[in-house]
Amino acid sequence: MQSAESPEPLRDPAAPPRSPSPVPERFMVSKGVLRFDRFMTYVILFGGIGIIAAVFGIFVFIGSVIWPLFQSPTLTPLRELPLATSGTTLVGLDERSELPYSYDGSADLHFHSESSNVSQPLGLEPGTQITFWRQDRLNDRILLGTQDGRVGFVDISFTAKQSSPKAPRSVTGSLKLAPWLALNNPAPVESLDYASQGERKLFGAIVNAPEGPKLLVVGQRQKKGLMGAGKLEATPPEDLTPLLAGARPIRVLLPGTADAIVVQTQTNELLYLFRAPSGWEVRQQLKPFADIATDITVMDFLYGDVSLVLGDSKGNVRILSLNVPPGSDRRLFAETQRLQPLDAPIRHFVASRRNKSFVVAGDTQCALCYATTGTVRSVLDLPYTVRSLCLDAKAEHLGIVDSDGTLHLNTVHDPHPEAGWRTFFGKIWYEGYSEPKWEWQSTGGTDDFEPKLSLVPLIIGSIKGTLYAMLFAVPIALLAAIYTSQFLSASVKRIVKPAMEIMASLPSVVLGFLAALWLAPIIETKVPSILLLILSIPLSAMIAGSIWIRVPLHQRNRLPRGAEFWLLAPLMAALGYLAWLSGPALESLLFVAKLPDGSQIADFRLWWPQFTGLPYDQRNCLVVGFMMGFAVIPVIFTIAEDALSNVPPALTSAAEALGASRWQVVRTVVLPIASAGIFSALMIGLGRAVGETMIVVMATGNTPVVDAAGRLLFGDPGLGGGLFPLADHWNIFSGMRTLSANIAVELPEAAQGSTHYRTLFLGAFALFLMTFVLNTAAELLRQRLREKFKIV
Amino acid sequence: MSDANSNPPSSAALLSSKGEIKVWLTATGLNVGLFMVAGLLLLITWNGLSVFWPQPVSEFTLTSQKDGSPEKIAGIITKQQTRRSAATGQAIEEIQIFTGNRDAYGLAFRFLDQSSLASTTLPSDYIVAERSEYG
Repeated sequence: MQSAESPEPLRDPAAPPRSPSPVPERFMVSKGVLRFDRFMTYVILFGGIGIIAAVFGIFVFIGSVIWPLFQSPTLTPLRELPLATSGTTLVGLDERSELPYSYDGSADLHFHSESSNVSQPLGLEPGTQITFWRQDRLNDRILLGTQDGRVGFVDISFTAKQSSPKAPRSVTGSLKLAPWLALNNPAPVESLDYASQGERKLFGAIVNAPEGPKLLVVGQRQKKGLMGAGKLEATPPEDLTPLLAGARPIRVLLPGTADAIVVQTQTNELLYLFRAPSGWEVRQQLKPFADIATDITVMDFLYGDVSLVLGDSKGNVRILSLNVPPGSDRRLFAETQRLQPLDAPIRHFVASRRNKSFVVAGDTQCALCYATTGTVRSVLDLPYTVRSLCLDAKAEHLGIVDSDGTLHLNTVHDPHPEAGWRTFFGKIWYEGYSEPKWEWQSTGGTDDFEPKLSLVPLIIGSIKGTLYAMLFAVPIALLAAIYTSQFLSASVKRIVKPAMEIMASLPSVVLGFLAALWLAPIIETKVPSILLLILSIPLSAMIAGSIWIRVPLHQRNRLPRGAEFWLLAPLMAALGYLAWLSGPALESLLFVAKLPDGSQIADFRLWWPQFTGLPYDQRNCLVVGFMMGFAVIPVIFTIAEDALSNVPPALTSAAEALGASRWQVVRTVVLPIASAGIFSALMIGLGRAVGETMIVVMATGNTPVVDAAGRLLFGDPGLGGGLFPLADHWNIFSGMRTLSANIAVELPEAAQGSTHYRTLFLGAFALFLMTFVLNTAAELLRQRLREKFKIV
Repeated sequence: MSDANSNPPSSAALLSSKGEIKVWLTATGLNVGLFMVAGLLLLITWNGLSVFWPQPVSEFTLTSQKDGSPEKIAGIITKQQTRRSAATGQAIEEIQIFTGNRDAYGLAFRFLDQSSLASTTLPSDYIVAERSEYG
């Protein structure tokens, strides 16, 4: 920088050339320059540190969002309440756990507030003796069975009053006894469950009749009309004891669909009875703990009534879920999870009414578990023996009754029970699935839906999309860069280079839009043409090149530099057009599919699934790869071209002087020297392809699929089957969903702070980690290349 | 960088031909890239600007009869494609035409099999008018 304060010219012609000057003022830098220098030093320092801080800030933010996913739940004691009941006690909690209630089979139910105990009569007629009572799974409702074979329930409702926002709340409970239903068997009820499915309501009960225990069902139908719910009509009780084939039933459970009963027998067998249109039938008989020959001590449904939790006398917990096994057409129970055993026999169970969490307890141990992942999330070792458990509707408070009749209320804090390494990266056997799977399906239609949050399909989608994009873009970009930098005349290069760079200026949403609406329907029916087209391009170059080398050299030299480029264009266009037209001919020759009726038809779309056993989607990797090319090619091209152009001419001239042909110069001198730069170009292109979102969102169909590709990556023992084991793994004709597309599609719908939201951030983190590892490896390799081919 | 071409012809003609085919191969990369750019820009321009030009209205006489005479329908051809017959699996050429008049036909677009067309003419006395809402 020329300073304004130095009036003298830099070189004084009058001064003797080598006279040492004592005060070399003209060598001194002006203060302005020094000040500016210092100022810029700080600006640059600030900028550099700022960038590093910003990047770390992103890490910190992402880290803070995903950190809670991996935290263990906490159970903190809240308060203790002495209960007025004794013996077998049932406890329940209201919405904010302000007014717990307890019931022990007597004529009264007790509400326990902080200050007082209020007992309230159920409203039983005198002489009614309750022999069985249990809490309903979903509602504040206690199911009751009597000594004389009647069943019913009492509903508990709470009203909260607060005179002003600052005044203390007062909660009062009230009871409403439903009309009794007679089982027509005047014997004590031993077990009971109730299910209500809109119009259809069903009681299932075991009564201890003198002639032996009986399994009975009694239903109710409620007509729904314009004027709201109508009157309940009871249907006559049915005796299902003959279906048990002599087994002694000890416990019944009814799923919410009110069309099935699960019966536990004394021989630790489960019978799954189903009401088919023709009547009740035994659908399945199974012994869940047959392998270890223990007794079933606890059996209940999880939220959603699709999974059964079973506990045994040795502390084992197993979960059975309904699914349609392969080769069957009906839903049957299959063991999906085994939990880590507790030390004590499982005696008590309570399920969350929010998700698939549940609490089991035995003796002095109590465990908070999550069914989907089959994990014991937290174990409490208590100083007392557990007699009863309860959870409030939001699963925020856990009540434990000890043997002295004291209720210990605990606050449960487990906001992300479904999260964990197994959830994100392991195979999980979800409810309703016939086998363990990697699955991304974050939301569902119902509240009892099980979120499926495996990142594996998304990681595979990202890798797959990137792979096909690079497969398409790298050859084109690198060949174009070599040709532009080495063989093209400077004047043409001035036009060609910006023309290629225009590609990068196209917004990716436009590319995605074109890919989805214009390209995908064309490619769908024209795969053979495209295959021929891809072949025709190098073929045209070979034909042109073969003709060219037969032209005498003095005639070749008449053509200007870079003539190949425009000489090749018409030949390529003609051959390409021919290839495009002969696509159907190739299709009828090679890609002939058999139809079910025996006739044959030439259609690649039908042939591909028949030949390879893989699906053929319209929105496939071919489309994505091609369109991503528009995003990736200019990046790789520009950087690689710069690297190739910057090879010192002295080196190439030396090679030429030694008699190397122009291709030999490129291969032996230019490419090795530029290799580090070309490598950077590839890495930046790769980064662009991995992070590309809009094209993938619009052009891939966004289905998070794990096909064989995932099995290869994540090691499936059943790998290598099929006709073409390798082609099997990277099906080019199927869609995908990438991590970035997943964030774009789902983040607007994810509730802030929810597991889903945090998992999307985890996906972002996984994406970052993938590129980070790749880029670090690439940078190390690039450094080595640079060392190896250092020119100066 | 390569000055071999501008030098006078030497006896090393064969030598300098070494790898010439590969040079041509690298040219394909540039050709494909430029073709992609040009094609995409042309495609966007063509599809975008075609909004401003009216499309010809064709009159199709169908082989099917309606009220004793061959059915006639007029519309703008918007798509030509091949579909597979669900019954036989044979390829059927079909066209999609824009007929408009949704209130009269129920649909604004209609598919016609090529085989169902007896004749297609381009009469000059059709006009396409756009009706505004509630117009």
